Amino acid sequence: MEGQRRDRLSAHPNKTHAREDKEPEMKPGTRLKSAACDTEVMVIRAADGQIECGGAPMGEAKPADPAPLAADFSAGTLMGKRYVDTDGKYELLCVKPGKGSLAVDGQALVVKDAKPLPASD
Amino acid sequence: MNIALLLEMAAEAAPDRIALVCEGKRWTYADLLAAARGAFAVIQDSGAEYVALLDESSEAAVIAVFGAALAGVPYCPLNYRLPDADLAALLGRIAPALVIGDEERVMRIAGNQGHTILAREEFTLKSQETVPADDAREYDPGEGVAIQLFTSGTTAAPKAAILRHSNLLGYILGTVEFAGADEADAALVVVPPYHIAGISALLSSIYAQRRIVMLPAFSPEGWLALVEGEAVTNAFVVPTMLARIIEAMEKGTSADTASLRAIAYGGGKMPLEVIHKALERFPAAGFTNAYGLTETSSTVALLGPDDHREALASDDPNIRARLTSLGKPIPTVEIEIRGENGEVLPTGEPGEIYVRGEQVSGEYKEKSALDAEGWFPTRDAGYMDADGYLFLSGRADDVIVRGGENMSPGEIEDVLLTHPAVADACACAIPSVEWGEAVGVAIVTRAGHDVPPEHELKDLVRSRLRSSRVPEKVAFVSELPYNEMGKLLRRKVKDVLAL
Repeated sequence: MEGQRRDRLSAHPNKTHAREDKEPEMKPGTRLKSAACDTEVMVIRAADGQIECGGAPMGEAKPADPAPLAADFSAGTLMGKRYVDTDGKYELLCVKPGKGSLAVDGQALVVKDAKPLPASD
Repeated sequence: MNIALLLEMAAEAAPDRIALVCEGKRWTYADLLAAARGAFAVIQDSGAEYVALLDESSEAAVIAVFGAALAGVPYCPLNYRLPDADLAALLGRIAPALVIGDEERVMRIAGNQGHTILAREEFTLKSQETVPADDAREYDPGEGVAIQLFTSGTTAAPKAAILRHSNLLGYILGTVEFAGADEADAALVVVPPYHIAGISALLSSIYAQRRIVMLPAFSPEGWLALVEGEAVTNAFVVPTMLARIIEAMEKGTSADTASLRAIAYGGGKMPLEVIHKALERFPAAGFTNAYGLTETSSTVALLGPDDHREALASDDPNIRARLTSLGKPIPTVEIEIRGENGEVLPTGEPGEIYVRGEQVSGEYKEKSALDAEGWFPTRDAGYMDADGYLFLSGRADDVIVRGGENMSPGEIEDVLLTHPAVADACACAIPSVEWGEAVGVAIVTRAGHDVPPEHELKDLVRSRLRSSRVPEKVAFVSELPYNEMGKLLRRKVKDVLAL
């Protein structure tokens, strides 16, 4: 993980800063970290919008100075929950919980209804 | 995406919780993750392109599946019951591999194929002792192969079915709730490691944080003792195992099975008599029938506990019949029944079962079997009733075609099994000069009954089904041939009937 993170950072030196351009589409499997809390997610599905946590953009590395936790995005994330937008373009799996809540371009994501099945294997 | 994520999340959330119990040894999630990381380094150092397991279930199977995932190398558990020549041919197809397990046998039959061979204990110990370099962790680009399983290949060379990380993660994330199990929950895993149900059992239990209790070699007494000793709550069995467990209990093997809350079964047709007895023997357990294939990352349809009890209690023959069904498609897949020309058939019409969904790989190393829209033709024949319950009639290749009329062996067998003197029945095609194919049946007489007269069996079929279904040939046999997973070997029956 560390090795890959460094590679990516050197290819995109401004990755964790606010930018004028949109991010390229996130590849499934990419891990993103919150700048405002401990939350980490794995991208299951994403388009080219800005993925945020606690009101701040998420990146593959944590910024040296943490971003403030926005009050509107402080409901928290839960480990193992999947978060989706209403259009079904984004799906993030929380792999580490935190105090912030997830959003894309300011629109809050919601927990995907789990459909737990009777254990079958 | 990488299936190693499942173990990483479990170890992150509950490092000290017991993940696995095997032959008295206990492993926490942190133990398993540390060993999987060590295995990753061992695999990388070996230069292997596959990780193969030639062994019964043990902690090595868990360490190998996740170690291989971290290393980005397919994990390929092999059937140790295969004859030497067949096994050597499969090993040749995955060389160079890191082969874990029967060192002596691999040396003897495939010693010149360039494999690295480690006995189970050696692999486990090495994995525990090795610490990978801190930044060596690499993620799969997303479409990498996690598992390769050879099909049983009864007619041709075995096909190499491949399951990608995305297929398996699609299945687990879509059907299992993370950390959804109570701390006291325990799943008894007895399916061999080279079977898809053995692999999906490990992945789903780890993600649910349900303690895995392994029984490397099945015996009804061993199974019952482990249920009591480990207070097992969940178990998956194939039908023959369940039949043998009930038989042992009837003969007086006793065990406290009160902890058993859920019993799932699959892998072959469950005789109605066995499931009836099981429902009585384990009144507190919920029963689930799971239908799935290697190529679909395990379960795609299931008949749940409520369906079982409702069917048992009902007077409506349509509802009672659900006990013989596969249940309904799980919400994350689509299922269609199609005819010979690929057309979607209406409700109730028998045809071939097609499946589509994230978990469906439908892919072999040689080529993908998916159609342009992503549908996988299972080669299983079946139909769906008006309430959405899926019924399996057998392999599409087993359909009997008599004078252009398609007949499924299952419907004929179900009728024959209603005869009090019939313990087991198998219908298959026999050559017919007049019709091309006709119906032949092999019958096992129930203990304590006289061999039923042929005309009685023919009359029974005639009274319940169309006259074309009436068997032209009836053979009485002492038992039907099943493989170790409880699958009826129809080809062998065909050979007997052709005599």
